[in-house]
Amino acid sequence: MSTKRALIALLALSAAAWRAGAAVEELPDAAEVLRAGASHPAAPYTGEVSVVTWYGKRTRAKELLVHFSPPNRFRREIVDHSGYTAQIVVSDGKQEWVYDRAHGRVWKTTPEDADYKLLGPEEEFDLLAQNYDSRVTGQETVAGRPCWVVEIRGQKDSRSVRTLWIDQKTGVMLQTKSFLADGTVASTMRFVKIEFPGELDEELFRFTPPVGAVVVKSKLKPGYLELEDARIAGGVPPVPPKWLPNGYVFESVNVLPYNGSTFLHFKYSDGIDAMSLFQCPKSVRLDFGDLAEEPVRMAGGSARLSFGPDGKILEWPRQGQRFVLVGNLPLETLRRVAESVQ
Amino acid sequence: MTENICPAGELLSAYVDREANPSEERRIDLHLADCGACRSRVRSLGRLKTAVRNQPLPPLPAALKADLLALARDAQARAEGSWRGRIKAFFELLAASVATPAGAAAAAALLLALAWGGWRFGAGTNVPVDFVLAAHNEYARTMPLAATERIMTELPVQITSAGSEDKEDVY
Repeated sequence: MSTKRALIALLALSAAAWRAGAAVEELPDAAEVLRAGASHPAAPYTGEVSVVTWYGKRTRAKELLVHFSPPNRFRREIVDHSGYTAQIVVSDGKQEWVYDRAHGRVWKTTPEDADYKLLGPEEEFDLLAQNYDSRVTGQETVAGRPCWVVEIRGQKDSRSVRTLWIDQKTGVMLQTKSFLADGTVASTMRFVKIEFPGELDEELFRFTPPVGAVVVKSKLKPGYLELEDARIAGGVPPVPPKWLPNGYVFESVNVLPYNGSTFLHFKYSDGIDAMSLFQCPKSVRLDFGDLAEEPVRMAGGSARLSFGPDGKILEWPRQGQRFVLVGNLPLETLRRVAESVQ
Repeated sequence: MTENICPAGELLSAYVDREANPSEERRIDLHLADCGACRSRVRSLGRLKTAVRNQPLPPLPAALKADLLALARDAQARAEGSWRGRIKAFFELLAASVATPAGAAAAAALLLALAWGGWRFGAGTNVPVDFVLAAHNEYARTMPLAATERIMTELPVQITSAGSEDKEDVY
């Protein structure tokens, strides 16, 4: 090769190397991106969201029209696959209204408030960091907006748990993908369209029931008790599980009355996922409705298992009480939790 | 029934009582989206249901309890320990007790009380799975990286299916 040709080749290689170097982007710290994603957005927005959930052998697709105004006011209109707006949920930050359009009924409900949880937000973030590895893997565009892509994997098994697309400017989670223990996709959420108009009409976050609508109060009430307080409030000794899946910690208990029966709701968190155990009288019969159920064997007897969009539901009787476990966990894990309830 | 044809009164009544089957309920949901007349009928049925539920039961006549117990003892003697005889005697007792309007109302009240007692204390409390799922999701919403939009596609239906406190207001 002549000197001239060698020089040209060297220059070409150098240029290519320089371009490659420039393309290596400066990626932010995953923890900082996740904190931005977990915070309430500072700017109001309006968007259209598409959600698909896979559970058991079923799939469910829905759309939402979302209006959000800081710090925590929102209006969500849930549209089913036929295009019908089935429910409207409006919150002024303290009170929520759920309007069931088809039946002309309005539910007034008080949502749980993260500020009152026994596990503070910093503790919960520490739990997340302890149980999961998070990494910003790059940038992608969602709904026309540049986002950081964050992958979250289990620390022990490196299993992918979530992938999040977080708006670089506002911290809004514009897309998420959740995975089951076997690696299959459990659900996807994606903003198809989003706008940040600066301010939104205040009327969007006020709810006036339509004339003739029946207004009722939801049976659900928030509560965040320690075990001993729950025993006094509920009048029954709590029977929590003796074994928990790796990374899960007890958060609090709530006491929920239902038609004369008292439910204790034990709440557990691993920083990302929630698990719930309900304890109630044996005379309670859980009606699975449209969800398919199947019998499963476990030590000490049998149980009923169902698959819902929110995870698996395991229900069994034990020593004069009935227990229900809800979580996005493998059946073997749920069974082990259940068998440790004594 | 198609979405465009108004459902019959009985079916609409079943719908208000949540006794229509899921596919009928779905068709009525879609029909109500476009039919103001049927929405008005649904509201009227809902108000009637509330009004009936809030009606007080008639008072129990003082001598009725003694009469019922006497009838029960006679019926038991006739049955001579046979379970078929006991069932027959029970229905004879019931027939005798409903011979008068007051007796009918009181017997209905007694049966309702027994049924409620059995349901409350022994026969089981039916709880829709949506009650526990709604409570779970209310908690799941408070997680730092909660999949809020996904949860909100399920939670409203779960809240409405979980049931409500008895008091209702019509706006």
